[in-house]
Amino acid sequence: MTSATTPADIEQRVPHWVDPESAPLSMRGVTKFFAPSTTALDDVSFAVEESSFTVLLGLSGSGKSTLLRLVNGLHLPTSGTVQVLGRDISATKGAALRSLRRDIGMVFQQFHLVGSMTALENVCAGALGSLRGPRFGLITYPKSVRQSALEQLERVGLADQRFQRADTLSGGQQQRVAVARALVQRPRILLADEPVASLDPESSDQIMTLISQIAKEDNLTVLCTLHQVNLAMEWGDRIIGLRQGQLVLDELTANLTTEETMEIYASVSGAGR
Amino acid sequence: MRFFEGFARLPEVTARFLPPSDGGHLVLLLEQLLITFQIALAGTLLGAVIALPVGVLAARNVAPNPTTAKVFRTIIVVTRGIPELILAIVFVIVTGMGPVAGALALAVGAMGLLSKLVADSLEETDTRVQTALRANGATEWQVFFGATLRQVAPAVIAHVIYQLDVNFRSATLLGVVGAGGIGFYLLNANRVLQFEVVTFILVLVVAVVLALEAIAVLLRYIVR
Amino acid sequence: MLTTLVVEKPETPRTLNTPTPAGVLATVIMLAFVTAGAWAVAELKINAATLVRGWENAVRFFRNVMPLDFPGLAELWEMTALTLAIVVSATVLAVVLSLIAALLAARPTSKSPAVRATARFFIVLMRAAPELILAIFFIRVFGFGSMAGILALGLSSIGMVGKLYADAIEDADDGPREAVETNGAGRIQQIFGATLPTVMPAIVATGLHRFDINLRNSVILGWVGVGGIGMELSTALSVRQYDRGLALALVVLALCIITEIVSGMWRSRLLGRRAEPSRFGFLWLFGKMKGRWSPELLDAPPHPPAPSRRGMPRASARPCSPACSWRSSPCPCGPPTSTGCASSRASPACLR
Repeated sequence: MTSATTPADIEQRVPHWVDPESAPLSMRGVTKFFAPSTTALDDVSFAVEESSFTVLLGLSGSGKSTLLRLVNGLHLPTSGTVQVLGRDISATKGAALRSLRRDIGMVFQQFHLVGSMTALENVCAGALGSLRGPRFGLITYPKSVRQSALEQLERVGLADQRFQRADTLSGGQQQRVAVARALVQRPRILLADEPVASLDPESSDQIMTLISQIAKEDNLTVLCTLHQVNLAMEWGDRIIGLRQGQLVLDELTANLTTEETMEIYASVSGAGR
Repeated sequence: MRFFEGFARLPEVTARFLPPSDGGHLVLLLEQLLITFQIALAGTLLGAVIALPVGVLAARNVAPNPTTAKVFRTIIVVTRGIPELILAIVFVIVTGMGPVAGALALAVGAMGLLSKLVADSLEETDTRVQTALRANGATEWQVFFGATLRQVAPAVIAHVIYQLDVNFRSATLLGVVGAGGIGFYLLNANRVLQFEVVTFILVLVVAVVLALEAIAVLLRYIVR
Repeated sequence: MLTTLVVEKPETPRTLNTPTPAGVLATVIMLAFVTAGAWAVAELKINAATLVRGWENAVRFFRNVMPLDFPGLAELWEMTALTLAIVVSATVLAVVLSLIAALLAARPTSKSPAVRATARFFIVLMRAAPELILAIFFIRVFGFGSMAGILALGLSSIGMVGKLYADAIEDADDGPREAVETNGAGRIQQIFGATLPTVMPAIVATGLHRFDINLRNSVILGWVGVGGIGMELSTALSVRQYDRGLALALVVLALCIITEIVSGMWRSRLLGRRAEPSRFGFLWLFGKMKGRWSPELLDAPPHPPAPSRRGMPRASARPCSPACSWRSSPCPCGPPTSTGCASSRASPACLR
């Protein structure tokens, strides 16, 4: 297969086809506008295949974080539809939204753990969606929840640190705790917002390996935003490229070369990342 | 100037204040010390109990809507403006002399200070953690208890303990205006010119204050 | 052959942490305080019945006490002026003494550790000095009158003011002083030429703040014979002239509020947006008219402290150790500097 050599050629390619009806996650004509004058997303449409690892690639400001937050309802689209697991996210509220969120796990760039809580308690907090009523302190979580939390911590290799305060753990360890927290409710979709942007290369590698591994074990559909092209090429089955709110690339990684992908970004700024 | 005359009298006066002696009223003074401590405890507890909900409602990021937050913030501001002594005097005049007046005055004062601190602490919590929990499906109450309150708890505990310390110091003074406690006897000792007793009371008060501060430091260190 | 089956109970890993001794201690202490508090409330008989009775008393009382007997303008002016004079003098005295003590106690301005330690000790010692007892003492020495009050208020202020000044000097940029030193200036010259100008906003701001506090504290000194509104108030109450007493109480309240607004405005001008503005919303009105201020400014939360000096990273910006001063502090942990709240000198129970 001859590879196209210009960004325009790549952009001309027909986006990878996934049947939106059966896809766990799809967006159609989604536009997101923030007052007073920011259009974060402009008519974005795509669908994500089940059990795939899709990378949202883009520079900062390209709208990828906003897109991710549209998936679990932290933001609502200004126009267009976002379908998640068969439901229209803008129409889902309250208890239905909570129940939907139980099937979606999310990992953030800054981990977002409560520093003064132990690792185990942080993971337990991820199960709040399945519990009724507020919880305060490890003891208030039912034993079954604590067991599941411990299982997830074992999967990420931090069972020994379970009683350690989260703010005494290293960056990589904290992100692993965050991953465990995202998984404790056994979601079907995993969202990752720049999971490794705050980590050193070695921890980055660890985390991406971990996410990929877990995704395969649990048959998760992963949607991960990244700005590093090399990581995207290495871990993603499919790359969706965003540039200034618009979808410019939707292709299986197998059909792309690093150079081609980088060129898309080279055309935006002097240095593609 | 009178200043230098007075200066010359220093050693003589100091001698009248020392050595500290209880004037034969040890039991009475210790009882009063206990009552003073009780006033401080009661005031702090009552103040804290009211301060928590008030502080929560005054924090812009937790209150149900911005108007509520503004209203409660104004309440806090007004309450803090009143000097505790004046408050105590009013309570004494109105509810009669005794420790109840003192405790209520301290409670109002503590409420003012603590609720502001609670509100400020809440506003400074890391909201990103709350986003993370919401993304996993938690309700607002769960987010509040699981993230916001957990982050704020150490600071609130430290503030309350400190308030107890401050309240005890105030309580010793409130007795002077009749709001119960050892202050009354301090004034009396002064009136009958029994200065050794004054010094004795000073020693008692300082001892308790130091003890309270030590506990406060310890607690704050543990609950960091 | 018999094979014995040894059934081992699989070890289920623990999901609840064993309480640490420190944790247990902390919980015990907290529970002890709460229980003690509840017991105190019960002992003092603060319950619904007392409160209701109290409220009824209050209503009846206020009906009887009106109209309040305000002292005539001349008389009022005289006692207010006396009180203010005492408090101003006391604050000035405190500022001067604290400055000396702080200069001796701060690292950049005092070379000998022994001198520094002694000065710090002195400041801490002054912290324990209660105004009332100092006043009693000084009245014996200097007789009834204002001198005793000035000394009592002034000396007891050194504890807080001295500490804040010392912290301000230590936290301030030492650069200018070093620069002047390398050019051959002597110690005193350095201080006056570089250190003092740098911390001057903090000096004035803390001084103003302590003035507010001293004004509140001055009232009680009246009961032991220091002149001013306090003494008038105590006299009125002792002869059960409640109409006069309450009137004077209101005067004190008004005075405190006014001084706080004024000092708040002054402090904000000194420290810019970072100062905690006056507690009262009148500034908001002025501001709206001038268009410079915003309502948020008025009740701005304390700004996050600078990173802890001990080098521990902070996961989140938490307000630091509890409000130090008796009533309020522009900055919870340290002196207000020209760039905002000083670093978190996470020292225990800060000061009065």
